Amino acid sequence: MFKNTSMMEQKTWGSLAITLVVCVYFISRILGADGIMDFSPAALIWIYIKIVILFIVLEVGHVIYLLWRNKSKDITEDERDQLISGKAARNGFWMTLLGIEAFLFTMILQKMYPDARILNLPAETATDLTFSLFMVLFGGLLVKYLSMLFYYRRDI
Amino acid sequence: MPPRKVKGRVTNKIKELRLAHTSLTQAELGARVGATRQTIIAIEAGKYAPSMELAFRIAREFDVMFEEVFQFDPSGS
Repeated sequence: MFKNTSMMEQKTWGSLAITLVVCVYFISRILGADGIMDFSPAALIWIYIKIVILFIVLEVGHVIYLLWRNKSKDITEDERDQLISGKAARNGFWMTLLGIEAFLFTMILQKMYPDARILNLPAETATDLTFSLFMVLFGGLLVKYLSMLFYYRRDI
Repeated sequence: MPPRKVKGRVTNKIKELRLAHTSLTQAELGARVGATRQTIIAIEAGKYAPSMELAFRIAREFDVMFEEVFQFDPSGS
């Protein structure tokens, strides 16, 4: 599958997989049988630190593996990779911005009409807010990596 | 008034030059001009228009004028 792909495209597939793994781990830590569990501030910060460490360890290991696997290649990244990365980063940025805006506007609407429960967005506790914001960030990353793979496949 | 859609497409003869003059592989050409094999494939297929710098490097690699490698087709889309 990866035989005819550049190192940067292989890296994109890996980063997509890592993001999904970390996202699933985060959801499994936060969600219980009855929905979002309530954590103490210290426990929440510890989850946050673990997420960051997991991301760093997986990405560094992944890049080391790719560099070893592609050590015979003279060029690992060029102008097309940078162009694709830039375009995809823009998509990811807009997705993140849109998510944050939607989140904030929903919170505003819930404050304006407390009985309406417009989207029933979880925003009662610190854990609720952390969960929602992390989902937005994961969404932005997923859009970025999926965009990159789309552009690679479309041959821009 | 909406902006007029400009037609035009950059075509190239990299594959012909590569095979006729030097018998370079796509990976070898890429290594010489600072691009990956996948980028050379995309350029040859007309799916990616390289930067001016890369285009000049490719022409220089074949030791020909820029216009002999890259052409502009005004009717292309």
